[in-house]
Amino acid sequence: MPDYAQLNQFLYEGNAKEVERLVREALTEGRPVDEVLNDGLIAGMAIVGEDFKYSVLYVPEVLVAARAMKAGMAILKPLLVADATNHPPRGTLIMGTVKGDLHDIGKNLVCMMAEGAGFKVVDIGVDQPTESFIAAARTHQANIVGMSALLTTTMPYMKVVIDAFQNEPDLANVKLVIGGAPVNRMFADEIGADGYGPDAPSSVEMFQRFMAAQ
Amino acid sequence: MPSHTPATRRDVEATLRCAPPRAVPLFLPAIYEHKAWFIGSTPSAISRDGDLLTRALLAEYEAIGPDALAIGVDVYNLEAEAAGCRVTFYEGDDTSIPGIKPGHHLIHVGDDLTHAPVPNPLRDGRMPVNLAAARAVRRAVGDDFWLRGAISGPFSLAISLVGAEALFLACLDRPDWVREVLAYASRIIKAFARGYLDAGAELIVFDSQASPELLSPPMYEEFVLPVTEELVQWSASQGVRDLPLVIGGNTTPIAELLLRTGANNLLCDFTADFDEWATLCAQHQRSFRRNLSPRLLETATPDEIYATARRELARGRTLPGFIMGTAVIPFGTPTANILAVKQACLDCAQA
Repeated sequence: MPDYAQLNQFLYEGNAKEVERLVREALTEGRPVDEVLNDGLIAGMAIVGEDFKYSVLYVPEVLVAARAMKAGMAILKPLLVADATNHPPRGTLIMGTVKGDLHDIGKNLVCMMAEGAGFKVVDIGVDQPTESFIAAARTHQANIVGMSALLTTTMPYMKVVIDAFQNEPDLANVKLVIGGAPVNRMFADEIGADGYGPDAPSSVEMFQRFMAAQ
Repeated sequence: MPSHTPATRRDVEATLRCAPPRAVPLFLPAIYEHKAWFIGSTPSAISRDGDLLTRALLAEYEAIGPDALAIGVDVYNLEAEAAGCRVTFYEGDDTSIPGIKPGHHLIHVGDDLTHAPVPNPLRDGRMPVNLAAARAVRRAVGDDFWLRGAISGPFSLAISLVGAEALFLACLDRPDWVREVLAYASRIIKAFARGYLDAGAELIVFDSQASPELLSPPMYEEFVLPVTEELVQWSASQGVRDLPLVIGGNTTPIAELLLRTGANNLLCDFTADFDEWATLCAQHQRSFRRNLSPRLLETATPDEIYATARRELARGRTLPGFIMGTAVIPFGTPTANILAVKQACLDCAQA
């Protein structure tokens, strides 16, 4: 039986080489891809997310853990893709920073953690207009669209995006969520967002709740 | 003329040096992109035109009557742009704030920076635009007014030069190289700071990318504190006795480290612990600025803003070195909302 606790620990420490080694060993032992993904990588990233939420870890440590996660995922991904029907992603998330805003640290953290939790993530980048969110949601059959903003001057654009989605009946089931330093739950309620993520780990927990409810 | 006579240089310096509190606390709103609003322009327009920037600053002075002005709009971009980063501007009536897009950074992790050129503030990027505005505003408001040139802190400039993710990862992978980047950033900042001093301005340092919301306190101590201490010491060697250091967000976890930088005016943002900051600043004889939330200032009524400001003033007005401030005022915030804070400062003198 692979030592998943050890794999979790290496991921937590951002030791990409050891993560790769243990992932390969687990596969060589004949362990199912799902098990390696869930017990080895996703479980490890969940601990990282929890510790980030409570300021045990900070952005640099999360980034280095996400890099180790990616190294492990690079080994698993071809296997997951080859057998896609048996390994569907936990959901599809579109993420972008809204028009007029060039900040991406928060958005990128959410992307990394959502990937780490098994979501398919499509990052459409910064300074994105409504049309890009809608087009990406349609193209990738998104379950969730996440909008990020760091500036008080750009957060009102989130409402523009949400209002535009109301005019797209085929996207009525897409959950629209927001986050970023100046945003809070009250603002999310005001503009009709389906959810608000105060930080990256909490955002991912919210995505998981949405998917569980579908 | 402003509706209230601004504090004199001596008044401001007395507060920064923690003299007994004034009857009317200093009011230092953080107005950057919103400057453009006062003249019906946009942040991108005024940030590229020294005359417009001057007009905007003087319009701010007239409309608000703050106890100091700060030169600058997109303050985190200037040094990086002068060094070679590409800044994205917005044209027409788009009021978005100029910024550096991901991928438009200058330095790659591992680059040798030994001979990296330091921009000339009289020539490179938009540094000359800001220095021209500093000179023009100084002429207009006279020497007895506190006029600050905004400069980046070393860590924030390093992020602009390298990119956030690359620099954060390098902090763990290549700490010695990060120190080289910070040293280079420091050389650039000093050149720009010298330009401001020569133009007749004081200085204010912004380093919000080093906030504990991003960087851990041990990393702040390891990477940012030494280079910031050195910047403060260098400033003193240039005749700068009072140096504000601004890091937004909840900085309570690094408050003691910020005190060690030597900067004598620090920021207690609206999310930071007022009591802890007040105690530490009193112990170390440092002045601090308390901010109000930008969202409150943008969306609440003047009465609500006034009431919140009075509550903050009730806590701070008897403390030596206390300054009433605001977070960065969002573009388009009604002037009455900003003046509500100022009115609260005036009224607390009579209370």
